Amino acid sequence: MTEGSWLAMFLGQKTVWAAVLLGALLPLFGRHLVLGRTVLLGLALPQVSLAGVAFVFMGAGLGWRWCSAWEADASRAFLGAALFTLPALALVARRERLSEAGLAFLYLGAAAAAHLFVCGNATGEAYTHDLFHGQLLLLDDASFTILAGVLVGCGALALLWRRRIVLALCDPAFAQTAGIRPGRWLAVAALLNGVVISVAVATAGPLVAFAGLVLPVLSAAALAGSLRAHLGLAVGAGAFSALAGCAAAYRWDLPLGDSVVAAGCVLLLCCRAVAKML
Amino acid sequence: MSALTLTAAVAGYRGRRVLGPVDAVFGEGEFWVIGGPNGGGKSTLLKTIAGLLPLLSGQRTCAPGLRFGYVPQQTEVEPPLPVTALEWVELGAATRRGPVASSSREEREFCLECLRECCAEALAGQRFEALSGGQRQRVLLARALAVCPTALVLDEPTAGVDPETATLLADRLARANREEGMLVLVVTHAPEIFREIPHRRARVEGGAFREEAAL
Repeated sequence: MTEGSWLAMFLGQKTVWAAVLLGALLPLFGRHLVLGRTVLLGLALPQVSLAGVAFVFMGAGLGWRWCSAWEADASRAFLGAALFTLPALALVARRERLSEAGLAFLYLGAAAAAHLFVCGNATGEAYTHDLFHGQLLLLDDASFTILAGVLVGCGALALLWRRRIVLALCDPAFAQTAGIRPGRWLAVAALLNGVVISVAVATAGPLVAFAGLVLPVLSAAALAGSLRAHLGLAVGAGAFSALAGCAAAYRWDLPLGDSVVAAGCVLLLCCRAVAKML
Repeated sequence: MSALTLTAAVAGYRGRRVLGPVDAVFGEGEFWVIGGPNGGGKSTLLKTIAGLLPLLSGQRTCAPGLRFGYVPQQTEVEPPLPVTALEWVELGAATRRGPVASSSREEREFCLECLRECCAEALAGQRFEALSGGQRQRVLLARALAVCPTALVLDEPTAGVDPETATLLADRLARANREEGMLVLVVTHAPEIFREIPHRRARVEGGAFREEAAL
């Protein structure tokens, strides 16, 4: 196969564009986690989403009507992720800030539950296993449309309201005295994050979702001199590492999700090294 | 005319009383310097005045149109991502309009003017976390001014600040009070910095608020 035809085939993959979309837009929401100093929540929530996916597969296996009504695997994944993520976020929001111990409990409990829910359920086990490794190859047209719609819609809102959200996350006391209700904006940020994490996990798995949320934000923070520059760099870093990871996966037949995450990690190390030299 | 009145106000944390009951009237255009020992309830009083802390009992009454500009202790503000001084001020100015993010050239100019008034224009493009304590304090004051407040509330604005910056901050506060008629409330361990400014002085100790003769 010539280089040109390989590239054409590579770029023609829906999977690649889904990965790039996730890479480019997840940092918009990862900024909320970093600004709110809740990065560990970003690690725990995707795992909770995966547990939700596994739960719905278990329900379908046991013949629960409301789970069986969703016939397509992808629909079950969306339903399950949202079912667990949004209530978990609401609980976290009620407690204002979960302790590290609480987050560790959430992560471990969700990880164990994700495995236990699907043990003995071959379809669910295979699906959640693939999701865990970020096998975006599972993506069908409908899932891609939902992923793109949710990411672009929530991304537009996160961009439009970014000043209010940044202020509420960084300095809620100042925001409140200036007449802004920080609790309301924190709830908005949590809702956007919850919806996006649910969809990202249902399509790309918890590993890719967490990496997409955090790695580009940290890479950009090493080099950016302002919030504005950080936004652009984070989006660029996310898209670049997704593209690089996909290219490596296609070229050398590597697992897709793991390759994207590895590319993000390499980029973070490079950005840190460059920042030290500057 | 009263800008803010506290009537038998009791405040605290998790139901535990730290301050009060306090009866106090803060008039429009007044300059208050509030002192007292550590743990006496000064910051609790300031947070109560600014509406950051709900009262356990009593009443807090604000005049219509009262708008606060709050300057927290500089150590309380530590953004985990790079934010320039100008961006901080823009975040403050953005509270005056709708929630959609868009900044006009006029708004940018206004924010630069706020920085200029606090002798911090040269810091506009610098990262906030890289600034010294005194420089941060100037930027935080500029951000509070960008809200276009009618009352300025400052928590230890001169702590960890060199004497030159402390004088500069005191001058800017005096001007805001004298020329713009702002109510200014300063909690400080160094009331002598404000000696030249006509002011009312109070002390908060053991949760009790009492007015004292000005320096």
